[in-house]
Amino acid sequence: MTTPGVEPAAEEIGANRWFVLLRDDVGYALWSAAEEDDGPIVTFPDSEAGFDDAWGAFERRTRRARRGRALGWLAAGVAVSGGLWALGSVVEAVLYTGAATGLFRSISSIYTWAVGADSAARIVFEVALATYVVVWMELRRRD
Amino acid sequence: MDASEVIERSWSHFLTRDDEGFALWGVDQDSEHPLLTFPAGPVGEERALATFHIRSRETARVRRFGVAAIIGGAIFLLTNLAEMALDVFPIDPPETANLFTPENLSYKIQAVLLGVEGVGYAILLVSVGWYVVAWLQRRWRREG
Repeated sequence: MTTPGVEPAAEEIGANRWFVLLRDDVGYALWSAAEEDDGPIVTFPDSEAGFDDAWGAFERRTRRARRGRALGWLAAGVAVSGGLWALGSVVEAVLYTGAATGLFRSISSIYTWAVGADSAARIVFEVALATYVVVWMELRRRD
Repeated sequence: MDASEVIERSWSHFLTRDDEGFALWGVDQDSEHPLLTFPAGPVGEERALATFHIRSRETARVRRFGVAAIIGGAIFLLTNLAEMALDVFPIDPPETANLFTPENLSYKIQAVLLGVEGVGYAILLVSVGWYVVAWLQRRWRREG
């Protein structure tokens, strides 16, 4: 794996899809694997303690990035289901109000579908939101 | 910050530049120290601008959800109060007041109120949920 801006003499100690840990004459440097033309995220001295700290930072940040991806999926679930619930509520309200005021004549089947979709989106939203909060707190506790 | 120059500003943050580099500040912050600093030069400037835009966008998103929650809550509350008022002060003649038929005016009004109330309730809960998630996501990223 090559990283822009890195001295050719640098030795790769560890790498994954998020970070690259390199060692050169000065010490250890943790780089982001995604960002280009940028400096290292953090550097450590060339010593035994420096290696321990560098490796610890590499593992901790990798773990956090992996968990952050899971949180992102849950957040997307909350966003989508919440949007569907809000949209379903508007459709349901329009159909209900229209039928009650005599604007629409026959809406029973559409209304039933709207209520069903609305309820399903609401359940998904509530479960995704509760899961997100619990997972977030648990991951933070482990950090 | 005396000799610094403001190069970017949003309603939540502003970015200054001086001889030493760039500094990101919160508009409402009490501290005299910046939230973040970046070294002078093109790399520092690029990082500073990117961080400024990300933080401003995240803060704006959280605030938008908060405002939407307040609006949804107000709609829900007002429609509930209006329904109660309709029960206490009936607008139909006494002989038809309790008949739930489309010809009954209070029935029509109640139907509209119920519909709006449902939408307000959904907006309230969805906005609160989005607010919580946006706030936690922002915190997760900042704790890096």
